[in-house]
Amino acid sequence: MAFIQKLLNTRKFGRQNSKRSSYSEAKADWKKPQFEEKSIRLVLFQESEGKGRRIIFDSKCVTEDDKTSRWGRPGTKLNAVAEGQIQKNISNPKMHNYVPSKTGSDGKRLEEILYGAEGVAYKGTSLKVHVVKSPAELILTKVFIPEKPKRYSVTDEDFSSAPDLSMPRPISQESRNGIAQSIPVDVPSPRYTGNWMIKSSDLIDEESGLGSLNSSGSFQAPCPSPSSSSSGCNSLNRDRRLNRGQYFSLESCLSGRRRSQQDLLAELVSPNRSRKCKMALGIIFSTIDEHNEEANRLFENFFFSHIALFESHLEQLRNNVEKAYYSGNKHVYLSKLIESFGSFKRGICDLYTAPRLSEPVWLNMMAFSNYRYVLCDNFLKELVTLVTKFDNKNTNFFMSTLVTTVLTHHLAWIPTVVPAGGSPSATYLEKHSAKWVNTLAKSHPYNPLWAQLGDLYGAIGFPLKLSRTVIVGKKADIVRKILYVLSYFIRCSDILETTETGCLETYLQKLNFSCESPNDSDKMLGLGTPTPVNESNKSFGLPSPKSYGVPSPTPVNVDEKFKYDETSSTERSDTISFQSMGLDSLLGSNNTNSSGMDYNSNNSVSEIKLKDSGICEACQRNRLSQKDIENKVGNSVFYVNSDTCHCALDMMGQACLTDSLMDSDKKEHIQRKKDNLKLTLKIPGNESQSQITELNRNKTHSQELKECKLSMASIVENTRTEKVEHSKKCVDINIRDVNNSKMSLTGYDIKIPNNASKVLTHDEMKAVFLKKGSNSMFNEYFEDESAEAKTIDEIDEKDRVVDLPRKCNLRRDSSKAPSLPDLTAPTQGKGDSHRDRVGSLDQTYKFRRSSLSRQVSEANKNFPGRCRPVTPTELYKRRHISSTSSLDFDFCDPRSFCQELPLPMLSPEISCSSQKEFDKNFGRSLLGDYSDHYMSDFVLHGTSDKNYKDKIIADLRMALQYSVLDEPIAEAVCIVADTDTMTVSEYSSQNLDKNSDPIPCGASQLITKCFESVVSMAKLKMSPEFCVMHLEDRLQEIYFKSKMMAECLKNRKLKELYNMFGFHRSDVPLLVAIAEHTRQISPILCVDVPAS
Amino acid sequence: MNAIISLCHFCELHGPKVLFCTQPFHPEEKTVSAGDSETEGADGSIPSRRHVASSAEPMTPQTPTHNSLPNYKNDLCEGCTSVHLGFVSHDEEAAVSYMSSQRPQHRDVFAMVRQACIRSLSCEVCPGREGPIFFGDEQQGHAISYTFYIKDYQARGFQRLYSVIVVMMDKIYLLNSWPFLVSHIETVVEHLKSKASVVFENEKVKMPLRQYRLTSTSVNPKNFIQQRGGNVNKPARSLNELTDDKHVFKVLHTSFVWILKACGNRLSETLLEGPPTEDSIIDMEKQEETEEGFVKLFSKKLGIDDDLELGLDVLSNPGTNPGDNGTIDEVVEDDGSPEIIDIRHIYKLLGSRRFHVLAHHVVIGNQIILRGKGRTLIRTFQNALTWLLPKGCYRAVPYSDEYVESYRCNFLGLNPAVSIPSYVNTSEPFLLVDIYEPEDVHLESPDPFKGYIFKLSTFFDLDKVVAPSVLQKMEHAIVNDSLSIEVVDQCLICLKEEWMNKVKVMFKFTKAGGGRSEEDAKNLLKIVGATDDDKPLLSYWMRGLSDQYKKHILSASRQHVL
Repeated sequence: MAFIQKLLNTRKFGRQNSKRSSYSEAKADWKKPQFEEKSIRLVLFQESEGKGRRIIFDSKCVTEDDKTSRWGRPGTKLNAVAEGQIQKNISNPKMHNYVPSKTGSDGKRLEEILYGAEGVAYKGTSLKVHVVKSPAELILTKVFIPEKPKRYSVTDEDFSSAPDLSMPRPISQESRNGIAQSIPVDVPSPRYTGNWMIKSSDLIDEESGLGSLNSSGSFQAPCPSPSSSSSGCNSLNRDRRLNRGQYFSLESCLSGRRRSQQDLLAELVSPNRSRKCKMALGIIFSTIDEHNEEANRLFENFFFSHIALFESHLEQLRNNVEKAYYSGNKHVYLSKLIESFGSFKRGICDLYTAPRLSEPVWLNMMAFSNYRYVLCDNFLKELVTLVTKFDNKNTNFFMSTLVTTVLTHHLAWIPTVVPAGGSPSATYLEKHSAKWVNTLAKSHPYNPLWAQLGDLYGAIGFPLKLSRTVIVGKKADIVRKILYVLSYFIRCSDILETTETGCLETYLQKLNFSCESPNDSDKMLGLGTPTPVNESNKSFGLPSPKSYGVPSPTPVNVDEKFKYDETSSTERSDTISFQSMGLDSLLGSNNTNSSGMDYNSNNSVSEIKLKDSGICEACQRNRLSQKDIENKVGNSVFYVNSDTCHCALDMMGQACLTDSLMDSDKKEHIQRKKDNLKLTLKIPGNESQSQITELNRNKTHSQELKECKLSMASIVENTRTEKVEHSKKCVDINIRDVNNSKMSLTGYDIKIPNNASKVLTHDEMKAVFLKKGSNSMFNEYFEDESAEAKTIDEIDEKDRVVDLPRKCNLRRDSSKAPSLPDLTAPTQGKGDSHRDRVGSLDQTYKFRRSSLSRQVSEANKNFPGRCRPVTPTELYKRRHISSTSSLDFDFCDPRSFCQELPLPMLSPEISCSSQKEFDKNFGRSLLGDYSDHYMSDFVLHGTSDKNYKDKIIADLRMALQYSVLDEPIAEAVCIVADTDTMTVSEYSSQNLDKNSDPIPCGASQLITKCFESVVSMAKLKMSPEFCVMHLEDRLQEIYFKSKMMAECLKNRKLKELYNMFGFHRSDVPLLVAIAEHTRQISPILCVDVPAS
Repeated sequence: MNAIISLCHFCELHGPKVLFCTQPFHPEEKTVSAGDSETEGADGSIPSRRHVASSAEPMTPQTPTHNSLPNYKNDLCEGCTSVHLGFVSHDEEAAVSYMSSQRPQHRDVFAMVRQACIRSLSCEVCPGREGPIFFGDEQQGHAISYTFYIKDYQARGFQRLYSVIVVMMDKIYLLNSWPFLVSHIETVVEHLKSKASVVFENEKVKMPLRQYRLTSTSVNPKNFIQQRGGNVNKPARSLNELTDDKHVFKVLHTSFVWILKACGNRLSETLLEGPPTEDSIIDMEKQEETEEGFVKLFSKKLGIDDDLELGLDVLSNPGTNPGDNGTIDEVVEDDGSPEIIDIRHIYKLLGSRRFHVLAHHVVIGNQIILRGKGRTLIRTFQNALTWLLPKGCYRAVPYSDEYVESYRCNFLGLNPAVSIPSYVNTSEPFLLVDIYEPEDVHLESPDPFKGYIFKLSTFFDLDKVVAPSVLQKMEHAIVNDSLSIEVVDQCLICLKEEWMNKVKVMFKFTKAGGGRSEEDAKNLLKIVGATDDDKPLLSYWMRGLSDQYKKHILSASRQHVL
């Protein structure tokens, strides 16, 4: 602080000095990281069908000798043709000579690393990164299939001058959304496609889910309408980040990223592809300094954070290699290879070691807001100096022109001036940092580095435009000053890194699950011998011994085969499930020989069943212990055939019932009908007589099943808390007495009057459903003491009440999701653990409440007892389906089955700090300083080198071919400001074909005036902070003007703008760019602008 | 983080297997997902998972290398399985659920993970056997794989090969996260390895199998399995057993969740947005006032302009100040009188000459008194006039039965019976608009304003005063019929913002700039592009600056101008 005070109090001259030191000595500040071109090595392998792999180039074996490069070939044998060519080469002194070499000792090792030990059954471009510990190396690999002649001819000149490439169509958001269906539309050329889309897929892998690639699943990221709202700009900024995440979402949108099978096939059979050969291009970065950990770490960090740029260089190299490969001339090939490897090395070196701006104004203002005054002061001084000096007629209003052009292309300043929507008051401090960023990052973590890179390149509009700026000039100090000032206008977000996330290691040490029930883990592990469940399902019906993973406390014999249960699992309609479930639970859960089910399978499906049966055991035990069951005969038979035991539902239903019983109305209703209804069910295919049970509703019964209920308490709880209507759907099955005296062991004592189905007509059912939910309807059965069970076969088909919903089984299932129990939980655990789980499940459900209730209510609407009879055969089938396809929980939220574990807490005191190192912050790494040559990747840099044109053009082409932003780029622009001639011009990828001359740029009146007033204000000695604020206000004005212009353009009233509001023609490009960015006007509209 | 972390295992019998996957879910976005079956659309609630499930079973990889083995039935062993149902953790704050299960729910995701698993364990070569590799392609996603060995006394070579893979579609994000991911995966791996080596050492002591093995005769296919596991039914031991930790998968779940979450939070951004417009700040300030039940408290604290008195006044009798909150949305019951739609409507009703007079009075802050019967008319009239002013300059009393002083409102709706007090006539610059309704109100006419007469009267003739330049531009836009009303709206916003920026400079200069000379003041006018004619407007619009802004400017200048 003292320092600042001093600054403030010193006279102007003094300040000037100190300020100067802050940025002009950037070069001194910039400590060039250790790096040498020598530490980069290139190896190139070729894998041909039948010929195996061989190394075809190794830069280590090329020795530069008296301006003559030697290239080396390790021991592997070259084919005859190549050999011959090489011989010629050697005779040619201009060519690179090779030393038939000593190297290649690590050839085999590298080959394995690059290709992998076993061939991957996949035929596309693959990127790999390996870290070798000893010798310390970082290997960046690209395995690809070179594409040949056609492409070669296209890319003959420079890299590619396919006409469609240089005039890419604007890529709209819409087309991108539909990328799966319409790739060729999106991307201008096949090449382009190759870069963007999947090159190939694992066609031979039948499990890869290729079948789905045909589906038209599209990426449905939220896409704001072009003129959504006034705060559209910021929402766009946010959507850009959100969409990126959504686009790569693993949750649902995968198919959008994949290509259709046809496309893949088409590409694979494409004549352009060489099917013979697969090349591996490996770049090996060796350790810079073995003793300098820090330097290595720095490079590694830089490498990974700048991987997009590295890959872009690699891609360029690959293009050249490909081109050279098909040149048909070995010596051309070699020299081209060496040449392009050389430029690759230079590119990487520049990227890593070039001098950076040490004081990017905008970033520093954000990062060090405490020093804002000083920063503003410095900035303003420079701005004023430059504007005074260079913004006049003699210099063609150089500064205004430059800033206008920069603002037109580097669009990231727009979101920083668009008024924030509803930020809370008391925030009028400097600029407002956007709050949504944090919220978004929490729920949809996105890659801030990527976002920052986009900001810097100005690639945030529609269509994407990538911009760079180069200041050329012999006078380094002027160029530096300009760079400094521009670093205020070229804006980006600041990257913060969490310094303290807590330590995973200590977290792991503290982690302790021992308090949980030991049963848990037993259950989770495979139980007993593994047997695939589908096997057993197929053999359904054949008696097979059943083994339980969990020791069953009560030995129970079941000699029944019962087929109704599948109804419950497959159909689960409200109506039917009550019956099936009733039977399931009614009949208990155990049998020894009834079904072929093996519950011990490791398969999750069967696991569920296992758990279910466990539950049933509990139920059953309960039941058995009930005094009501005293009548049970020794060979009490419990039916447990179901895929899923429905104790759960049973219990839930019961709970609901209990609730509903409070409702006297319902009770009345029940009473009214109860005598009329009887249910007969037949248990088909049983070896002995089916168990006869009475479905009886008894209030006291709920207590009998207490323990059982306990295990299901979570569901009950859930049902209540959610107040979801699904309780109504719950089947209320109550088994009062499993072996009630009323049921004879052999008879079908549940007698239903023949008119049963007439009693409850569909309409009635519907009415009941709608009015009461299903509970009440079923209550009747259970309250009816006289209800007898009959097998369904005994009833005429027309009389059967066993109805299944006509449709939407699926939905039924989904609606049932919440009722499914936590099956990982031990079913017979103690109350405590149950409660724990209840708590956690409760939370689970709360969490999903909205969606579930929506589903459920929806399902309710659709299930007003629309039914049809079901035949046992059908049930067989369904059962089969259900068990093999695990429909049981297909349609449920899978999470509902999971055991909830507490979320690991990161350290509560997360502190973020701005990344000042260039290795993790593009804002620090891509704003370059003055350099002696033109450099490729930098967003901004200055150079004395005048020989830049070709490089710029090459860079522009490359930018389109390979986007460092991993998104299709519609246009690449490079702004060149020459301080010697005081001209500003721009190179655009869209003009490359016509002529490569740059387009001269002009100054916008708005900027000129803005500068005028800022400078005058500064001369009036208004505080620098205020002047900078005013500058921001003026930029905001420009934004509003562009909005107005956009409105005018919608009405095609551009002339009015000129006439009435004094818009100058020179303002239009800037305003249009802004409007385009904010998508207030579509690009097509903009095309008209210059004309009008 | 949009990634899936999996633990994979190379099973001696079954080849590479995915053991355990952890993945974040956004429950509320389920519906957005692109379903690929007929269930989509109709219910719209749950993406089809039928395919997922139906293919789940046969999808268990059968690698060609193990074709010789018996059928699929045995294609599961303890070593190849982890959990049956899985775990879930909810991050309620971020509305993300992290779910772990043996395999991912989504078929495509599983295909990707499985592919990565195979590549990780049997295709790609990791230099040094253990450690990280990155590989991937657009089709199958990208993966960072960390391979490692777990000690197993019963396994061939006394170790078993595992890998942790992180699969993402976003290559750049994944690679950017490499340093973080690799170091943390390493932590987890070390955790597992150390546990396993404890078990290993114990077993070694307990049963010197090694000795047996070394002395035993040759290994042949028949006894191969026995030798390795000693148990045909248990060819490979589970990770639980190897680490002697029955909770090992819970540990993995939480670690993976930790990594996913921390990796997502690792980097964050600061993004700046423009400050809210003065208008919206004013809106918020007004909201605060009304919400907190007292008015203009901070303007009192601020004490920088004439709001001070107002503040005091209002504080003393807040209940009796109907209009000061300035919101004309305050419900004035609709009385059926016609409505003014927008500013252009006023222009059309009044004609250009009278409109100019009215607008001039409005923009320089003279009180506008609308006297007439129609409450709706007056309310909408006032509303339309706000187009001309920044929000902060706008104080309205929609309808009153007595005169309200101009310092309390610049728009006043008056009952026609009320007359303006005589002292006002002389001291206050106001414009009185008398609205006379037509006699025959019931006459249905396409123009509801037919017969209405607006009479403007004032004691302050502005005829000779040159109107502020911004007014000309505003009128220009309003008059020009070819512009849609949206354009007019944008245009007025634009002009108002432009002039508010000038006002800010003026404010800074006059109130916070310290002593300034006349010349400086003139200069300043020139700088902001204003003339003397604009002065009344500029000084009036200063009232429109938000208190926040004023406070900020004043405090900033105090701080630095010392």
